[in-house]
Amino acid sequence: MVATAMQSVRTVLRRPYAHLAGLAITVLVVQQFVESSSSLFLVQLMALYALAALGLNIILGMAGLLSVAQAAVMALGGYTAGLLMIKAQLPFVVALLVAGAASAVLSAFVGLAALRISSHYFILVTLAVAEALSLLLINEEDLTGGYNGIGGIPPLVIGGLDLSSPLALAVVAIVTLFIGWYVADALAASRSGHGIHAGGADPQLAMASGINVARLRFGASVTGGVYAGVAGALYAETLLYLGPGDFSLGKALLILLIVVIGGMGSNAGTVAAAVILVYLSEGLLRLTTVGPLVYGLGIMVILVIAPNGLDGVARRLRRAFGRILERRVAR
Amino acid sequence: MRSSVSTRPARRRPRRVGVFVVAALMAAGCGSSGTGASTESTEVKIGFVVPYSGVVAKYGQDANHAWQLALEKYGNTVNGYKLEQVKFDEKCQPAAAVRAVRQALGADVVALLGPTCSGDVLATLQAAAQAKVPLITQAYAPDITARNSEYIWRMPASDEVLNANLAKFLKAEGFTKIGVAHDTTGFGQAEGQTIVAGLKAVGITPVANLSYTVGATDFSGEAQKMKSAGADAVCLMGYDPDTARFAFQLRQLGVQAQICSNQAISYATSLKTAPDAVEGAYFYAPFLADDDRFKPFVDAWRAKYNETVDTEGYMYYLSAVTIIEALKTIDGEVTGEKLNEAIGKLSVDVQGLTRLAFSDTGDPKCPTVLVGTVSKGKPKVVQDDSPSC
Amino acid sequence: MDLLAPQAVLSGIAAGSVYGLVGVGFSVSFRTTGVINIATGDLVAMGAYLTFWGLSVGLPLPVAIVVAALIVGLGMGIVERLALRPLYRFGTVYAIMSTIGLSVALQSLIQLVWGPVALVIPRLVPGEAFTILGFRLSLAQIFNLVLALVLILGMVLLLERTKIGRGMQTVARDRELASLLGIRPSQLFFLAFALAGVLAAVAGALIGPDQGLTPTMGLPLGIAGFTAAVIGGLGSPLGALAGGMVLAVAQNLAVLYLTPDYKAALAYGLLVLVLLVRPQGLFGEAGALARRV
Repeated sequence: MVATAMQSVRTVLRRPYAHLAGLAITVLVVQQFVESSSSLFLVQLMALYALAALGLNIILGMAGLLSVAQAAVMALGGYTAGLLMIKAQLPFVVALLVAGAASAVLSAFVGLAALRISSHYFILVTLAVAEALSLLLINEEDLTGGYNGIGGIPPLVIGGLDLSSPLALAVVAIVTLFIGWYVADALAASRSGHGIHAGGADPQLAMASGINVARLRFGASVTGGVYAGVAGALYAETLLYLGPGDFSLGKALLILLIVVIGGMGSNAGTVAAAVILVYLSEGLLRLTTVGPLVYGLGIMVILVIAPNGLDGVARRLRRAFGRILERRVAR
Repeated sequence: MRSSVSTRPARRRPRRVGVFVVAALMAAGCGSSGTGASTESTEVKIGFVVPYSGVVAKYGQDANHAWQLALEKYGNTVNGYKLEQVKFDEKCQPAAAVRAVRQALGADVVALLGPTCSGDVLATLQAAAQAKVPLITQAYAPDITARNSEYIWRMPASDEVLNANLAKFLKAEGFTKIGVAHDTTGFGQAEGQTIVAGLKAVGITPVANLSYTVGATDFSGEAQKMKSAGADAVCLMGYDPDTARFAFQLRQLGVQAQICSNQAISYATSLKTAPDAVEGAYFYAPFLADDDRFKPFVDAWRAKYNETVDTEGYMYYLSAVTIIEALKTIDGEVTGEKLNEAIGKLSVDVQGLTRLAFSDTGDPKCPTVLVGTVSKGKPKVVQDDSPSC
Repeated sequence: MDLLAPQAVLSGIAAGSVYGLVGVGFSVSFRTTGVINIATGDLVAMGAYLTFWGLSVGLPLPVAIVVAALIVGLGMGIVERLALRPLYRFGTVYAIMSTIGLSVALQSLIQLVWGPVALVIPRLVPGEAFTILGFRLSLAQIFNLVLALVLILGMVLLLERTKIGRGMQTVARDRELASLLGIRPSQLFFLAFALAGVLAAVAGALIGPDQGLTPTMGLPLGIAGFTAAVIGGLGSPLGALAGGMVLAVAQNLAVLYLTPDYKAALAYGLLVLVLLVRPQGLFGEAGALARRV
């Protein structure tokens, strides 16, 4: 699987132009138009949640596994990176690699459960893992600082280059996001990507056509975990502080929501949904007391009106537009 | 149903969404950069970083009420500078607090009133110190003033002081076998650690020390643990609904041990849910509306807002007064750094309530330190251990 | 004689009966539709708050509880029809997401209407404990246990002795077979969620006096409820009751003999263990759902 995946990834990797263009435009816009440090902070959050959601999109959108453990996996990445930098004085890049690996292992552990039990129950297992990790973070005070979390994370420096300014952090987050997006697109286009997707849509059928669903699901869990781990490590640099509250069930549900609202399986939709939802949840909740009520009801209404998310809406618009054109031409 | 996988996803999609991202980011940028107006020399901005939404949204309301009351008393202009309140929502979530503090610092405030929740303060005190803006808080965790920040000022005595005093009181009352239970929030953990430390300082090792999750439904296991440990006093260090339920289940299992707690046990919830269980309980308090010395303040608050002021309201009032009194002593242009220095040198009397003066760490020199009890369903002061100033 | 462990078991059984009540409602709706109702805990809170409201408009306590349960049940049924049913055909993920939205909305609705400060409702029967044979027990505990048993036995009768109930069972096992037999699932879906709402609301009214009413009061009960349902085997109402008791007793014993710090983790540990080792639950038949891929 790995070999074929690498091969097909390589074929797609030859054409990164669209992603490079998107990256360039986004960085330019952020650099030109977003000035205040709090807005740049918002941009960082958008990029990091988008990254974690892209990971979940591989697990849920492609492999069909409903997980609420993504925020916990992100927490493990963040805490691993943060603690390595504080306690072992490791440079960020090393901490990032270890964080990615640790998160992959946790996500793999969760993925293993999917091999044994029904996908109906999978969400309960992920819930249990998420809550267990959060209890660990709270109770192991000596290591994690407990509920109050850990501060004093060294600012971001990569290879002697100080990247701790809000703009530099935002750019780093955006670059990482586009790399992740690109890889996710490549994966989706690859043969194993098709396999993962088929396994998610209809496991029996996929199995009947000779696809090893279990292995693909496991692979999707590992890959998705790396995304969350990297997002977590960068999150630590963004806040220079880590606490269990930032990776609560509410945050896991936000990531899940991003994927569903974006249109499961669609990477572009996921990124767009992350931008919108992070803005809404930071903006709406800040503005009024009815914010959460609107947010909750909004979720239900959007699901009923547009269950295929932004991706579905875009598709429908395109089709409607096409039909109108066709009619014009025909008459 | 699910999106079909196009053979060349890398080609078409990103361009479309690239534009999407751009548009949304611009909206975000414009939407939230509205507060960053330039400073005018005739006003000073005070950044209120308090919970305006979320479970403790009441704090935000208290802060606004306290500020209005302080302005009424001291006027809204100091040395020709008009005081301007700028609000930011802390939500009692560290991430939200970090963002709120960044926003406030971006808006050129000279002082931060809040954050209020301990975790939020710990997450933001570095940023405040870097920007050289004083952060005035009422969080109880001892850690806050132990992190070598010169820009942090705390209104109430810390958990450490209050619980050490409660421990001394319990020892004097003759209790020797004391059980401790605390929740796992930042507040509860600090409470648990400080009461245990306080007891050890007077030579008592707790016979049981256990933690529980906030909002737990059933405490019968924990209550039995206290029973089997043979505790003659049980200190419940958490929030009021849990404390009341724990106390109730202790009595239900026939444990007649003395109950000791923080101020939460004197709140209306506890008094109503478990009136018999909390009767006679001892608790520490940094403020008690029923105490005579606070009467003028409590009455003024009631006259204006028709409610009994709680500890939060009182501490926000002290925060506001601290800022105003320090501003009075500054000549010329006001900066965060100058204001911070002025707060450090402060020593003023606040209408007989207390004296505002701070130690090098940022802790109050003359805090109110009380031990209270619940008597006939009402909180009452039994001992006043406030240091004389 | 040391009555420590037996007392822990007894107290656990009393507490577990309320978990079971929440669990039964959860498992009925899960079994019929495959949807995990994340808002279960918020239905519990809503039940408690509506009881408070009933009392405040002058209803006597028992009437207030019944009214609250009916409102929550009907409301949940309507939500099912409006916001869940249109989503079933896309897969259960969408309906689950919708219940997440419901959970957020209910919690903030409660906070908007009743405020964040804890409220209090009175007990139906006195909560003061007395001693029998060395055990401590209160009327309230006995009452909760009996009420839970009665309601759950009622559910068993409904599921096994009535046409509607048998229809639900069939829909749960095989939806296509059900439609071949002429069973219209739509009413059953409504009913399943309405029943879940009623049971959760009653649980809220029972636990409210002990716990105090806060907007987030239902969350731990929601989790305990579905842990109970899974432990007991989804689908068996008596299993859910037993599951609730197993959970509460295990937690009490863990606090006494292991560490109290990870009491909450024990619920999740049990959950995962049961799922991995015996997916049909301790008391469930090895059935359809568990074996599905």
